[in-house]
Amino acid sequence: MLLILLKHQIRSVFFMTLVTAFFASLAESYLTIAIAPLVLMLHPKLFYNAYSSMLISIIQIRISNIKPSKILALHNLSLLIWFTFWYLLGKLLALFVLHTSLSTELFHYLAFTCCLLLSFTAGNHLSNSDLFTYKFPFVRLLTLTLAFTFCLTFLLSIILIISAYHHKLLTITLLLPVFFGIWYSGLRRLKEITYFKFLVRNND
Amino acid sequence: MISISNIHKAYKSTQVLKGVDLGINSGCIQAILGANGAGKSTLIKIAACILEADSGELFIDNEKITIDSYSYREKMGYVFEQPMYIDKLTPYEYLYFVGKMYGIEKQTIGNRVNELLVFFGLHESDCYIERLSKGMKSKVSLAAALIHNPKHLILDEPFDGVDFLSVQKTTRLLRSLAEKGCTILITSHQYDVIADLCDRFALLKDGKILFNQTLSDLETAAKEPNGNPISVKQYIETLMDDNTSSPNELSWV
Repeated sequence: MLLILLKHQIRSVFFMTLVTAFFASLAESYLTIAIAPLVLMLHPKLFYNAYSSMLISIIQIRISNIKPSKILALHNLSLLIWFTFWYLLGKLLALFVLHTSLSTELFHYLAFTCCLLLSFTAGNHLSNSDLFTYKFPFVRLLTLTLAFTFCLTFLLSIILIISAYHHKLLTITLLLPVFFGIWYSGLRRLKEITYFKFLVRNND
Repeated sequence: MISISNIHKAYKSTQVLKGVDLGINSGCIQAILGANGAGKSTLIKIAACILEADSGELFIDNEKITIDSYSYREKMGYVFEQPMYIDKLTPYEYLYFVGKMYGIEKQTIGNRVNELLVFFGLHESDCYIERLSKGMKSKVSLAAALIHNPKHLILDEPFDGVDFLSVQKTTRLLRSLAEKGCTILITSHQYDVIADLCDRFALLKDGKILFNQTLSDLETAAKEPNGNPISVKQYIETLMDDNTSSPNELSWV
């Protein structure tokens, strides 16, 4: 399924919308500060409105028997692949052109991946939250964006603090499986797609 | 079995469905007829749980279905008025993807997809679905509704744009599915197609089911006001047509 979804994302040129990660990666290497995760704040809807950003009809998801964890895992993995692709392309260029330190770049990459995993965790829960039942679209949009941005800003602050310490690479390496575990357990806990209550009541 | 009980639905100030009751037994092919805007598609969407009724109940195999219900979906196949597909996939890729969404095993899915493609004449279509004709898109939708061998089928205009040969093959397939116990609810504007296919015919008018009868009952009832027998098609047309005083010709033609 993932392969078919990736094919679709290539053919529809969806993957090009994430090219901002390439430029963020280059800027990160140039400034030697872990700022690439900021690029995730440029695409909040991709995360907190996961079902609609799948390029699969929401009705198709609704009428099939697919578990929410499966469909969200597909969504998350496809985004992980494209963000990582553009990010690493930027890093590759930075290594050759800017002659940056490999350990620093590795730290940045692991920090970026941690932020991605947190974004997926936050996005999956927001996608299934009652925030979607808010009547006014502007309030709904504002609340979802603020919730997502807050989570990401919080983690980014932690990463910036860690980057000031001597053993930052070890610390971030230990944090990565923790974030992976949080993402995975969050997915497994999703039993139903709450978003459909919003969809069904507004499908007029 | 599918049971629709006292369904009401309004869009803003317009009451579309005003207490629709319909029961479809296993193995029965039920047609819903009605003029444009009668509420057929609304009823289909409510039966598919992608639209919530204002009031009323839906039962499938004696299980009450609400928007929270989940497990019943593996028994259901749907075709909606607007064909559903993923535009940048080929028919093979899309059907494979849908099959995986329904949890069909890897060993089974390839064979089923190939069989469906051959059955509907889509096996030579390597282009993306978005480039296919309207009729071929309808066939893809129908194939996707059948891939997981559903126990119940809800079809909204499934033959729209489909060629005559494929319609004949599909109606034979639907008949054989019904003989094996599949419950089928179908709406269509093409009365001539469904006349030979369906067991029962319901007419939706003014938000209610006007009648729900077999073909033989309709043949008995099909009479002009003066008692002369007419065809079932004419009879239904008379009942559907609200605007009997409208002209049958255009002045400039």
